[in-house]
Amino acid sequence: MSPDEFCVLFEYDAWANHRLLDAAAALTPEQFTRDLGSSFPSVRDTLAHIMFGQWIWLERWNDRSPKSFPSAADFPDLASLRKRCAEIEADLLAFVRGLTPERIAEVAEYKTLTAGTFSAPLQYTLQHLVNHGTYHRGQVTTMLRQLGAKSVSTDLSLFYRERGAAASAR
Amino acid sequence: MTPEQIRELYDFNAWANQRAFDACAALTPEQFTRDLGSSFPSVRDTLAHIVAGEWIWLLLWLNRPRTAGMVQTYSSKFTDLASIRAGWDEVERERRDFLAGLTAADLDRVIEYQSLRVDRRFAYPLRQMLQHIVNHSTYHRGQLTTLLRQLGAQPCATDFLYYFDWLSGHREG
Repeated sequence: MSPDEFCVLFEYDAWANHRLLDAAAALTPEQFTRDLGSSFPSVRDTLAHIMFGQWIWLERWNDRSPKSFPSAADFPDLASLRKRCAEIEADLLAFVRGLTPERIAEVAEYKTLTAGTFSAPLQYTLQHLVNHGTYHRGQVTTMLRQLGAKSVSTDLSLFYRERGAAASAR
Repeated sequence: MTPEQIRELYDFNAWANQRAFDACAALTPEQFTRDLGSSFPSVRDTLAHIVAGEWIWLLLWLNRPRTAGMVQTYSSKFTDLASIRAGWDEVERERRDFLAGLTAADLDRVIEYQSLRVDRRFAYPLRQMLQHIVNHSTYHRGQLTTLLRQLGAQPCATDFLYYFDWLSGHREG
């Protein structure tokens, strides 16, 4: 994949996260943090996990391998989570926009939290991160529905369509 | 993306679906069809939606006729895990043949089609559609994991990187 293709994928990732954060705004604080028994118990915890994933990979790409995730409890409400999301998203998009074909092909070592040291070409870790966000966004949608809230489509096809429409309107 | 990278993405998707199917084998028939209020109510419905989504887009790529109502008819035959696995195996086999012949020029080809859900025509380069459907299956595999956990069953990891670790034998199956 080319640097441009990765830029588009990460713009999709940001677009999808925004849509989900907007959908979560309809929840009460109690619903936002209610344990529904998902991989990360609540809507809040799952949204935080998506964001922590972005953070930890940015750290690894900058040759740092954190030993632990921050705590989702540091984000008691949607506003605090959204604020941190925006910061990490800006860093992430800046990183992706600076990619070169050579950098994408580079193999880097990283330490996972529990399973030891691994190495992978940057390309795979970039693809992994977007796939990871999509996977957990599916979980948020399930929880939003279970809470009786309205869910929202974050299909990649819809993103491409909206992006295409925006481009032809310019 | 190159045709080789697309094939790699679909190898990942096949691996992830197989693991997801395996994780569902522990459920009782009642758990398998229990309405848990997800986008597609049950584990069965979520799996059927993944397979049907992969199938209906493949029909488009193969330039075969598609009509509204087809997806529902197709999905209704998925009554148990065995029928879902068999349906997906068929999709995977045909898609593998299709992807084997894929060229860089094919990826740029814009395919226009009539939406099966709304009265509109859409058009995308094949590359975007191919990416969309893997992303779509990943999304619904995430939902499946939530449902499995809520049923007290053991989900399995289908991370993209875990697939490459698995390929290179770094971790146990």
